[in-house]
Amino acid sequence: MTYTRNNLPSSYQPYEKLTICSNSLIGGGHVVELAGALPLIIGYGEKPQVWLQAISNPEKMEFVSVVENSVSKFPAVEVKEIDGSIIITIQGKQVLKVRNVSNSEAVVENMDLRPIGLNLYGDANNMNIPNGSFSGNSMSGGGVLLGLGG
Amino acid sequence: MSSRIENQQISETIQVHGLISGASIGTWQEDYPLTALDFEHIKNGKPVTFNWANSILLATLGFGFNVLGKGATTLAGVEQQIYVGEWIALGAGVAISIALYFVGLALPNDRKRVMKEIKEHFNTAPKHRQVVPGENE
Repeated sequence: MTYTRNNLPSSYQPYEKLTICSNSLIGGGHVVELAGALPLIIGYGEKPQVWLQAISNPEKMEFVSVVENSVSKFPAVEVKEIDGSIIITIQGKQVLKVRNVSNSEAVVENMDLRPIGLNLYGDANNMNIPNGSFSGNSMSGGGVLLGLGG
Repeated sequence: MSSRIENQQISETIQVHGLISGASIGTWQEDYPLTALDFEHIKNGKPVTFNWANSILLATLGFGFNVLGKGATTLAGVEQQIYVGEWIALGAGVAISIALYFVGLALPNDRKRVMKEIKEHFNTAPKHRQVVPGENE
């Protein structure tokens, strides 16, 4: 089953403000959507609740869930909690670091989605996309920041 | 798109080209450590009596067709004598090939042993799924 905007995980509760590599999503937005699927979902919890879906077949746009509710589904994927931050590594490479700021806010301080098939990476100040970068932007109303261009 | 987007209010999804890097999840299983000796065993490990049994059986079969031809001629109305010695030769050929086959079964069979080990390895070695990075990475 692939998670989409119309089929979100049942335990998902959006943060009021989610900052991903310095870009703010206000009101429950998502950073990227591919063919309807949401590769990265970050929701509120005692610790941030993360869902990661890797692209298992780029031609057919098939996804496989590698992290659910901040729990790893694969031996190669490690999910650790350090001081209220969730840190996900795949084969020793850090894929995501997300910190709980308050009940309504979380910050992604490090992200590299290349191991799950997406050319998207960044740090606390900047997010790199193919041929460009994003920093300090904000989006309101629960939309999706990036989509797959034709 | 090739740009830096900074401090903007974004209201619509921005379409990005080349987002997919092509990583994929594959299933991985430990390979069988095949040594040169194992390979030799697979290649030549069969007891040689199997080959002998095979050759004699084929020769006997050929001879058997000869006898069959004589029998068919008789059925067609032209009397053809099949000598008792021919039956003995046929029976002996079959008996020798069967005997050699059983001798082969009793001899140590390295090929069978190695094949069994390989089969067991792939039945029991655990499978892992892992992420295989794409070309663009």
